[in-house]
Amino acid sequence: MSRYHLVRLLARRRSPGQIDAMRSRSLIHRESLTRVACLATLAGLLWIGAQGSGPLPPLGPLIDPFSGVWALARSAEFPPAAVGRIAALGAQVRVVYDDRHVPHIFASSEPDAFRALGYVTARDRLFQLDLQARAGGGTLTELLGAPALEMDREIRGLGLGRAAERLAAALPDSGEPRASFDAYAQGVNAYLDAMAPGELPLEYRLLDRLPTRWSPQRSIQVMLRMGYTLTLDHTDLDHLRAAALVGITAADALFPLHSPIQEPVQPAAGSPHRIPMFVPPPGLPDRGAVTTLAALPRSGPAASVRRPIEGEGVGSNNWAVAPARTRSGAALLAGDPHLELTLPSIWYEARLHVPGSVDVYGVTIPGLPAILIGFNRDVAWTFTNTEADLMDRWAEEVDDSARPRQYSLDGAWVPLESRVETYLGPDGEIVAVDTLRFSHRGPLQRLGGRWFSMRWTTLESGGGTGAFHRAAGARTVHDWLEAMATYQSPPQNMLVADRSGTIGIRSTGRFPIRAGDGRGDRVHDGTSRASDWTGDWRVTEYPQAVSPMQGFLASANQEPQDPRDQHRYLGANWIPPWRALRINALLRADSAVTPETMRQWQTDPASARADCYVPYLVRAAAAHPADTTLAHAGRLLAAWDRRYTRENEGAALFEAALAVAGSRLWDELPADLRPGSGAFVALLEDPANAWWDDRSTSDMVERRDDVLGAALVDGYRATVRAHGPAEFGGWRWSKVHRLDIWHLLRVPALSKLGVDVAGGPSTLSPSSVTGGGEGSSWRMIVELGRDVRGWGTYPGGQSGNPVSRSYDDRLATWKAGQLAELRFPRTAAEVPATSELLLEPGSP
Amino acid sequence: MSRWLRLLIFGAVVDAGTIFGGWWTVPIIAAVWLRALPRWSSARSCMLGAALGWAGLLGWTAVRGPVDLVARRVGGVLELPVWGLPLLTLVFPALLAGLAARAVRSSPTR
Repeated sequence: MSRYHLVRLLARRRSPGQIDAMRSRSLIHRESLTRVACLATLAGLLWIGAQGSGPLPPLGPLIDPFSGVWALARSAEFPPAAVGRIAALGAQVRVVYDDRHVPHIFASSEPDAFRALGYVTARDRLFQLDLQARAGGGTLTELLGAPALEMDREIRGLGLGRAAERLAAALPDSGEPRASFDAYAQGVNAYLDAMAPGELPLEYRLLDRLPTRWSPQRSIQVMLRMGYTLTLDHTDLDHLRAAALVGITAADALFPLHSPIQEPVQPAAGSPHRIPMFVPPPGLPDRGAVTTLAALPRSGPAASVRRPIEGEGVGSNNWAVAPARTRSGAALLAGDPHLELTLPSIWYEARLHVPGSVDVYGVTIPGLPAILIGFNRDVAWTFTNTEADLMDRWAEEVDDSARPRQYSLDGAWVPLESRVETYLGPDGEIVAVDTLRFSHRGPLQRLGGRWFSMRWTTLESGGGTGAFHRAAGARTVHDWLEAMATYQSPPQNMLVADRSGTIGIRSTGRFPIRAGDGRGDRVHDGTSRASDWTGDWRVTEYPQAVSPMQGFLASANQEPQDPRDQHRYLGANWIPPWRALRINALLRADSAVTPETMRQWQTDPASARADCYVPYLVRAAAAHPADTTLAHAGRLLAAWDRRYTRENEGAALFEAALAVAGSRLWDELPADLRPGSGAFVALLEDPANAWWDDRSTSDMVERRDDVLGAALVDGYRATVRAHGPAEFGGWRWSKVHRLDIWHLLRVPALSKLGVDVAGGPSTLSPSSVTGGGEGSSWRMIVELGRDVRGWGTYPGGQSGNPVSRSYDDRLATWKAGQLAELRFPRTAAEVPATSELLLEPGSP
Repeated sequence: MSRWLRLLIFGAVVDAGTIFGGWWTVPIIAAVWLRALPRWSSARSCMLGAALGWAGLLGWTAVRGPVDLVARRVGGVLELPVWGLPLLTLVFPALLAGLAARAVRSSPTR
C-alpha cells in the first residue's frame, strides 16, 4: 500500500471535527506563508524605494507625485509673482523676467545686484553651478563617485585645486573682488535655504545627492575651469616629441612660430599676405629631445584635452564696424564665442540695473558675479580667445625618480612642496589619495620616466571679476579698455564699440616674458633659474587697435599681430586664419553694413579653408586623367561651390579627402602629433618636398599630386562606403553632419542629439565634420545708435529644468541662424514681464 | 458608505500621508486602515485606493505643469517608454499598500 492510500484510509477514519481542525491548520499554515511572502516583498519594495537598486535611484522619493520628479512640472515655469529673502540684502530688489525668461535685476546697489544675480542663477541653474565649480576644483567624485576620478585627477594634477584654495585665501577681507564674490554667494545660499523640496533639480534626484553651499572659492573654481578650457596647451611637448622623431629643424617648421597666412587681429599693412615658409624634410632624431623624453610614451600626455586644431569645430569670431561703413551711421558690433555646447548652456542671460552706477545687459557664466559679454547704454563688447601660450614646462632633475622630495636648482637641492590630494566619494568615503609635488614654478607631472614642472598663468590669475564690474560702467571705448587693463586670465581678444562711433580691439591678459630666446614652445631646462619667466608684457605692448583707417576690426583666434609688428614671443602653432580671412573679406566688400547682414554672416557657409585646398586637389585629379575614379572625384569636387549648407553635397567628399591627405602627408608622425595647417599649406607650394613621400612605398618617391590624388580617391571611396553613391542624395551635408548638444551629465534623454546645422570646419559657424558638440555658444549683435539695440541667442534656454519650456526654447532660433531682440528698456515697467520676483532683506 | 466613497477617503488619507510624511507612509496607512476597518476594506481595495490617491496628486500636478514632459524626459532617463513613469507611479503605491494590507490581514478563523 502506498503512503498516499494509507493517509486517505486514516483520513476516512477521522471525525469531521478532526478534519476541520486539520483544514484550519493547513489554512493557517498557508496564510502564514503568504504573509511572510508579502512582508518579504514589501521589505524589498521598501528597500528599492529608499535605497534604489543598481543604477536606479531611490524610487520612492523619485516618483512621489507630491515632492518627487513630478513636482518639477509645478516649478517648470515661474509663477507670475514670487517673493524671496536674502539676509544680507541692503534694500528690496525687483527682478522682472521678460518674455525670453531673462531676469532684469533692478537693485539700489551693486552688491545687492550681485546677490540677486546669485539668487536668480541658482533658481534657474542650480545643478550647473555646482557641477562647474566641482569640475574646476576637482571634486566631481563627491557628486558623481569613482567614474569622475580621472577628471578630478587631471584637474588637481594640473594644480587647479590648490590654485583655487590659494586664490580664495588671498582675497582681501573687504573691497573687490571679495565683496562681489561674497554677495553672489549670499544670493545663491539664500535660494538654497529657501528652496522647496519640489524644486530640487532633477539631476540631484537621479544622483540621490543634495546641492552644496556656495562660497567665493567656488566662483574662483568656475573661473579656473574657463582658464583650463581656453588655455591648456601642449605645444612645448608636441614640439619636443616631434624633435625626437624628425629633428629640431623640422619640428620648428611643423609647429611654426607664426602663421604662414597673415590676417592678424591688429590690422597690418598689406594683409592678408603670406610669409614664405620652407618645411625642411624629416631629419634625424634630435638627441637632446630624445634624452629629455626618456620613456615618454609615443602618444601625447593629454591627447583628450589638446587645444583645438584645424578641422575641429571650435574657435570664436567677433567684428565691429565703424559708422562710416554702416548703413545707419551707427557703430555695429558682432560676437559669437564658440565653445562646447551643452544643455543647459554655458551662458546665462541677465541684466543688472543700478541707478547712477550700471545698466548692463549680456551673458554671465553661472558661478561668476559679472556680465562677461554684453552692452550697456553706451558701449558693447565681446571676446574671442587669444590662443596665446601661457603654459611652459621645465624638465626637472630630482633626487628620486619614483618619489622625489627635492629638485636641483642652480647646483643645489631644493625641497619640493608636497600636497596630499584626497578624493572623496558621495558618502565621504575615500576614493583615492594622490601626492602632488610643486617646485617654485608650479606643479610637477611625471610623463614617461621624467618629471616636468609647469608654470601656467591660469593658476596665478583667477582672482576676480573686478575689471568686468568697472568695464560695465564705461561710457566710451577708451574707458572700457582702461577698465579691462587689469584683466589677466584667460587672455581674450576684446572687441569694443561705443555710441560715439569708436571701435577698438585689444588682446588683453597676462602674457609672460620668457628668458633666453624668449620662446615658450620648447621644454626648458629646470636646473637653472635662468630659464624662469622674467616678467609680463606691459598693456601698451598688447596687440591692439582703435578706430583703424579700414573702418572695421575682427578677430577669430588667429595670430594677433603680424610678426613684422611684434618681435616678442606670444605663442606658436596658431589656429589658421580661415575664419578671419572670410570675415575680413565680407567686411571689405560691404560699406553699408546692417545688423541683418551681420546676422547672415554669423552663419555664412563659405569656407576660406576649402578655397585654399580644393584647387590643389582638383589639379591633382587633372594630373592623372587615366584614373577614372580620380577623374570622377575631381569633377565632383570641382563642381562644389565650397559652401557648407545643409543641402550641399560636395563638402562630405572634400572633408574625407582632406582627412586622408593629412594622414598620408604626416605618416612620419603619430596620429596625435599632427601639425596644424601652417606646415600643410606651406607644403602645398613645395610639390617635391620629402614630406610628401609615402614611407610605405620603398620603390617610389611620391610627390604632392600623387598624395593628393590618392587622398581624393580614398576619400571618394570612403564617402561612397559611408553614404552611398553621390547621386542618391546621401552626401547631403545635413545627413553627414550632425551636432550633439549633450546634457551636462551626458544623459541622452535630456540632450539634443543629431541636430542638423549648416556650417563645417572653419566656416564662420564652425563645427567638426561629424558634428561633435562644439559650436557658436552665444551670438550677439549690437547697434550703438541713439539708443543701443541688441539681438542675440544661444542654443538651449535659460532654465536648467529639463521640463521647463525655457530649457531648450532657443534651439530652433539658433539652428535657423535667427536672433531674438534683446529687451533693454530703461525702466522695469517697460519690460515685457512674464514673471516677477521681489527680493526682500531678511532671513529665508 | 459606498465602496467608491471608501476608496476615495482612503486615497485622500494616502495623499495626506504622502504630502506631510512621504512616500513611505503609504504601506503604514494601508496597514492601519485595514486593521482599523477590517469590514470595510481589503488588500485589493487598499491597492486601488493608493493608486487612486497618487493618481489624484498626479492630476493635481498636471493642472499646474507639463507632466507629459516629465513622463517623457525623466522616463527617458530611466529608459522607460513615455507611459512607463506614470504607470510606475500608480503601480508602486498600489503594491506598497496591497502588500502591507495583505500582510496585516486578520488570520482566517473557523
